[in-house]
Amino acid sequence: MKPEDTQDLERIFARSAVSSRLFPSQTEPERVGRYVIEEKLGAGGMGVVFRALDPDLRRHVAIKLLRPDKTPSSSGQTSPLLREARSIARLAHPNVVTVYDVGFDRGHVFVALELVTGLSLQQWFQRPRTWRDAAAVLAGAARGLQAAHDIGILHRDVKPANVLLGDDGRVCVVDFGLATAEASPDAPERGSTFGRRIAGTPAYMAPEQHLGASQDARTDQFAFCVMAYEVFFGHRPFRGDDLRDVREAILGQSVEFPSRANELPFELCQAIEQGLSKNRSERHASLTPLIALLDSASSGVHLPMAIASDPLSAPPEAQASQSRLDRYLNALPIGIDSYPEHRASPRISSIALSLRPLQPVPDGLTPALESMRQDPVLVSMVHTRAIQAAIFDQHFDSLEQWRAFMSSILRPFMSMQFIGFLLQPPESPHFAETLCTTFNRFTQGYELQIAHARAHAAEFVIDHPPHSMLDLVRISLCEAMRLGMQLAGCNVAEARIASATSTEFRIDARWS
Amino acid sequence: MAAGEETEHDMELLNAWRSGDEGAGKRLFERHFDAMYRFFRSKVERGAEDLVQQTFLSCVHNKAQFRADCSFRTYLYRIARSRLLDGFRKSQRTPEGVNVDEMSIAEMRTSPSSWLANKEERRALHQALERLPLDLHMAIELFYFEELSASEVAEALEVPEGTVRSRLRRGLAKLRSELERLSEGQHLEQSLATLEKLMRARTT
Repeated sequence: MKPEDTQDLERIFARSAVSSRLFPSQTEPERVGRYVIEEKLGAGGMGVVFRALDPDLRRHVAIKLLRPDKTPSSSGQTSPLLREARSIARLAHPNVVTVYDVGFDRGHVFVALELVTGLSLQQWFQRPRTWRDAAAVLAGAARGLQAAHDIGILHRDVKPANVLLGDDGRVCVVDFGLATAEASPDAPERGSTFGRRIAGTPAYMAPEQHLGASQDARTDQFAFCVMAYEVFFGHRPFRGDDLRDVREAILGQSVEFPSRANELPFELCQAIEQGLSKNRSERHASLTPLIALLDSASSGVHLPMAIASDPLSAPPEAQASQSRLDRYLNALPIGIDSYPEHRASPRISSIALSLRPLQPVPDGLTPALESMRQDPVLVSMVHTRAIQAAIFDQHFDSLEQWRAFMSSILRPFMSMQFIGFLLQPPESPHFAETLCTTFNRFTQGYELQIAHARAHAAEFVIDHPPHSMLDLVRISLCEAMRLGMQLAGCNVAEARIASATSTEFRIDARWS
Repeated sequence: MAAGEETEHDMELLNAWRSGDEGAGKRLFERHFDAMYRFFRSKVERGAEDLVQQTFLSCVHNKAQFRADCSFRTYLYRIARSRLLDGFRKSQRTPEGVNVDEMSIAEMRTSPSSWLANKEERRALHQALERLPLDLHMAIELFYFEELSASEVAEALEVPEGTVRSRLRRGLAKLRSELERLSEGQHLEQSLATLEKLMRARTT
């Protein structure tokens, strides 16, 4: 028997465990270092974990046996694995499992870790959880990761199985850095002949990892966002039946959000999406923005959107250079949020300013906008992004009426997915966000069409000044529909509002 | 292997253990633990230790089941097999009428086990084995890998020896086709070579 073989060791420890139960008085306990092995807790691609007793301190620990180390212990050299384990032991953070000790025994590097009893995140999210709870857990994991990144340690294998939720409610990230140090080139697990079996981890690996390029903290960020997406929505953003499919999805597929995404704060989805950027320079610089959004999501506080937080920073000249057309366009409640590039622009800020009741009325605003501007309720609605709900309140008596209205105008035109979004109850605080999220998704990569649709809507607004908020929404919907139809593959030459009075509403589409 | 001598010895140890001699029990346990652990470890994702423990406890407590004319090892495998099938039935909540014996390990488990295979071709062989129906799987395992005789396999699986021989034939054919399905190129040749080697070493 070669002592270097992990499986041999595993068997030896299993024999000792069973023997100590059958013949307690006859069994010498097996030890790793000074730790008395009691029971196998689990095994993964990167090592076997045992529960063990530290006889000196009389406490239970988790002992993780890493792969056999080829560096001869007698050579006086410290193995890279041991060095790495030691650097991880420097990391002390409430959201990182504590490393008590590292050592070398029977040809194996081992790590003695704090024994966390509880569930892994992988087990935890199998049962229904509120997204607020999920956000709180993810925020903890993100903090642990960020603490490691702060001292230059990468995790390299972020996934739900590597996040533990202790019985005391603590969230702990485990298996730092050891994962990849473990995956030596001769480890047959990955990329073996049997492509049908996925080692689990590739599904969380960033494109640069799949391509064998260098890694940094943003590589962990990608994996973290895959995990966050999975915990929130129950499945991973990049799916496939085998390793090759998953890899291709990660390298080439854009992120789609399920309709449940409308329950989450819009900014959070956007931040997750950004963290999943193929090109790491487009990801967040660190996990900090994600932590902030997860925290606010878990506490139920909604971050104000750019339009509400930004207006005072708009330079006055930006207002002066506003064209009348732009003002109309940007006053469209959906339109503003629909174009990410405009979100924090001075132009939008100035529109937001123009909607404040105490500002002087800019030249050229129509009476309709003027009346909006003076309506403090509407202004506050704009600022809280609940315009849709306001419209509902003002124009509809029941949810059924609203739904009927929306579906009657939308159903013939829109893809079912889009309708699903729009039919969300308008009283939901996330309704407007949902609309915006959807719109953003539909408009990605279609800047040209957006420009056309906007020009179209603009033309209409000039010809038919809006008389009410409802009109504005209708115009927005017309615009949204045109886009939706185009993106759904319909060849629509033109869609415009044929009639937009408060009693009648019709959209004509000309198909080509 | 001097099978008769060992059987007798095993029997003495078992009887001593039954009458309270823990040291004898421990020696018996040491002698057979590895084979039992291999048997379960290749078939269950977790809990192999518990199943081994149950198997040994059963052989101490169930005096009635033991037939003196079969070897102790065969007897252990028989208990092990019934523990395993019980376990699968419980965990699968298999409906009445479904014969667990005819299912494969791969069907009963979603994640792959890493059996005691280090080399790629051995790994391939074991993965192919996992896809075989359990009755064929165990026949091949006990005969080719654990090197029980055909009559011992028959005792362990509680079927006639002729059935064992036909299971071995069908199992090998199926193993070959699974290997062809699973492997590609070089690995296939290696795996098939390993299989051939096994078959040459043990002819039915």
